[in-house]
Amino acid sequence: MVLIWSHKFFAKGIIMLTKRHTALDSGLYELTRAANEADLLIGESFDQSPATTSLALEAAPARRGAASRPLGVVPKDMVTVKLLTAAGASDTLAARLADLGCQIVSRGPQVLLANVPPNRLEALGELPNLRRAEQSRRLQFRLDEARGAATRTDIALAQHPQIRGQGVVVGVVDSGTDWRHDDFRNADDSTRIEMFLHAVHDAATGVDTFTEFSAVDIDAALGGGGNVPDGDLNGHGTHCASIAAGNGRASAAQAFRGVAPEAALMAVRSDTLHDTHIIEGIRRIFDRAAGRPAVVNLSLGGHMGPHDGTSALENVISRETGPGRIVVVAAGNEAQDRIHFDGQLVEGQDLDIEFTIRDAVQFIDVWIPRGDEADITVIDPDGTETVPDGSIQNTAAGAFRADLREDQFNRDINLTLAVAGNELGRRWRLRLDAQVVRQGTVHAWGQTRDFDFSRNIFMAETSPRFSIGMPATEERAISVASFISRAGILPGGAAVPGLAAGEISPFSSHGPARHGTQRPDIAAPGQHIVAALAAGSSMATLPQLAPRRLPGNRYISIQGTSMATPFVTGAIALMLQQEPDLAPEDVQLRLRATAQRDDDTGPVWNEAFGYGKIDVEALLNYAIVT
Amino acid sequence: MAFSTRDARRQRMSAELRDWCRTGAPDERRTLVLKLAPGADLSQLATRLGDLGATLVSTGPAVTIAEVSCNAAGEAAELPGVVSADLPARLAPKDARSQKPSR
Repeated sequence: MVLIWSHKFFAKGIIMLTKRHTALDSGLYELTRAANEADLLIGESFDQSPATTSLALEAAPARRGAASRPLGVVPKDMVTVKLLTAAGASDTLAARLADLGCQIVSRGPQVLLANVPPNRLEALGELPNLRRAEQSRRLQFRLDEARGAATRTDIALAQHPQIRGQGVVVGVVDSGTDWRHDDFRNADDSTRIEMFLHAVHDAATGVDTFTEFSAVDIDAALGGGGNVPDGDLNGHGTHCASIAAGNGRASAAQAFRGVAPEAALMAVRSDTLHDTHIIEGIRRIFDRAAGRPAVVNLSLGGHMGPHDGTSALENVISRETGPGRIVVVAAGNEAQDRIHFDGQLVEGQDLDIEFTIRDAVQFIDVWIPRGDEADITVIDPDGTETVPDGSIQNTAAGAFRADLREDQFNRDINLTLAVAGNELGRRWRLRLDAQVVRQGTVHAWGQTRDFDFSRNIFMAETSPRFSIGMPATEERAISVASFISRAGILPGGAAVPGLAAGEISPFSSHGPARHGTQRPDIAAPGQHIVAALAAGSSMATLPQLAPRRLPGNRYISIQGTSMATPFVTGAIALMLQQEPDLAPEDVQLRLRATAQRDDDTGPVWNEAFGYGKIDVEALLNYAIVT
Repeated sequence: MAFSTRDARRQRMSAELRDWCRTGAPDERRTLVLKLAPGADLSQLATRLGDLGATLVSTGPAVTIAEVSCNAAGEAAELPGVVSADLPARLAPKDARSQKPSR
């Protein structure tokens, strides 16, 4: 039995999707005018306001280069349809569509976007070389915009009304979760958060402490008692938890509900995001899940380390995950930041890693393959060459310290250089004089002490490649890139110039991992996402974020692979409700098999999108189909 | 004298941790990340760390986190099953809080 989708057409002019079982070729799509209860349920999620047709084009992947231009208004007697064609058939098909009175809106390899008169929809089924026809759905506003056409989440949830994440634990290890926020509370006002772990790194002593609070503790605190600390002083973790599993209770019609709104929640608050907090947070969540399937969200990362899955945190993810235990990680936001360098050692020649000083202290982390040998020199902006000796050394342009260590796991040579330049904006060089070369490929990453996003511009020679952070480089982590689900920051707001829905977020870090492992796995909506705002947090109070906050200060629009990651976390929670024993490899297989591929993503894995854009509808139907 | 990759000894401790061992007060304690070899005996490691006066913070496959005194850190790094010892490392949240100018 083969599952296919049937486009159904409503009197109000909206094509709906319903599931049908048929013996027909699975590549064919049947266009009918029938309706049933399932259609109506889906129909409710697509507001049939007059604005609908004018927004339809925004839902479609716009053609590159034309993406930022106004796309105009779809004539009200037309519907926009995405057509997947056989290879080389686009031109022929375009001509046939014109004959039918259709307007070609966008054309790319094997994908056409066309405005089609409703009375011609059925005729599409007769066109040769048409593999698939899909409605170009309206992108809905706010978080539900991300749940809409971009990811088919609302469609999936309408088809599977019993799938809301029940019985699955969603853990968010981050800056915490505002346990007072209505989106993390039940209808009776009790908390949805089963466990709240407060991880603290005492900067003065260097000692970590962990204090755990239960739902009983939180309910007591909600009643005015107890000693539960504030949920989230930053706001980042609350936003992430809301995207994955918020119930949208503080919003009208639950417009800002997350992907798995009935999952059990566990939250880890770390104000410093030390790896020790992340490691214990992951372990604590899997332990407290007590056999229930669990998915942990890590919207965080760093660049000091091997980028090959052998760091401490990556090892923990590798070993602690398994059937029903999944970890999802943000790819990072460093694609534009010039943080990475790679070059080839050649015997008898110098390889210079040239970088600019952007902060009071910054670090360059260099990985030289095992077996290769090189002599190292630091050259300051004045041209003074200094041979490091492992101690803090001074030049006229600043101070530095270089350290060499053979990594105990991968046996590669790790050279770390900390530089405190006297002046910002000046270029230093790290020279590797190659003596013996067996492998030759050298990688280096830069990072400022304080992760200052606006200053992460280091390398003179760079590209977005290899900008994916750790622990997203771990093979058993589900690594997530960000694409644009709404070009405007706020619902209804003007598009940010240069941004177009469907394209990869400019900041979204690119793979692969250092040794070529295909990372990221998948892309999800991360720009711009409205989700819960933690009361009293820096996100709620910083003046520069005021334009991003919605009236009432319960929700805020922010962007990042941090926001894309919990979207995937929520989707995996839904998958785990269906199939509780899915292992990371199973999840990756399903993400790969079901990813949406279009003109933006290209047909195969690539270093920006991974395998494509997440398709929640296809993910939830994967188990049925197979 | 050259500073060469040939001289990269199999240091079990990071430079920062070595500094602390050298300069810290003997009874000063810090949280350390101990990376473990595959198949490391966790219970034996816990016992040995306890013998050194360390407090286990988190234990499981691949990594043990322990609060260790300055004078015991070197010994902790050399325990059977431990392949490296480091001070905790910070990570960063991955929200892009502002639109970056195009470069």
